[in-house]
Amino acid sequence: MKLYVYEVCTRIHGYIAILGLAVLLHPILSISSQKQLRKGTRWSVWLSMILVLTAYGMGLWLYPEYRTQIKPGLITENIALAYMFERKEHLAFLTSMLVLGGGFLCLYFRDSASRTLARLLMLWGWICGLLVAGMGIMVAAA
Amino acid sequence: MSKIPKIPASVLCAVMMGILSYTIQRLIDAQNEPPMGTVLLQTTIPYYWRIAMACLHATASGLLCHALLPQLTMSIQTLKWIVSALLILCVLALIVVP
Repeated sequence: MKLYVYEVCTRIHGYIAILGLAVLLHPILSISSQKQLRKGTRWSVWLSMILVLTAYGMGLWLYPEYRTQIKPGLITENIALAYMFERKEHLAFLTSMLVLGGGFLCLYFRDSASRTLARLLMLWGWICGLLVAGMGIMVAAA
Repeated sequence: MSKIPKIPASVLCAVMMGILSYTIQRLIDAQNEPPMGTVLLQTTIPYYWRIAMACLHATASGLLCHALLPQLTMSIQTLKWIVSALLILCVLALIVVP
């Protein structure tokens, strides 16, 4: 992959992830007040799951390019940022697991216990996602 | 005490097991691998292996939970605290040991 294609893909990956996090906030804030999910909330859960998982999938696809093209230079120039990138990857896995689990529970189960667990998982996914986004912005800015 | 249906309990178990598995694998790897910068490129990508193993553990534990657990009866508040505490520990471990 050429370097500029990689750069474009990383930017798209970041924008999709940020968009996913923004959409995820809607079900987190609104599901506790709904006995049956409203159509808009259902759409936002689906959309946030799709966006977060697409961003994660793009990250997995780009990771080998990062290892061969970017990481060696990053290690010699600023090893702290290389470590930050690794942290970001770990937390991205946690985010995708939590959003996937929370979204599934939210979409398919109506009882209050499942809704509470769904909200908890999505909230933690959002918090991890926010950390990932912050680290990603710092690495991308370097 | 509230009753948590079988499938949501299994999904929760799968998610938590996947996260715990990833964190433990990372902590074990961190003890054995050379410091970053001494090895520039490995032939395999450990990150992919960890994800694959964590997904495998998550699926297996979710299926086992679904097969063996009749229904989870537990205070939802206690469960929320347990899940949150485990997640905080995992996030901190992954931040401290990159």
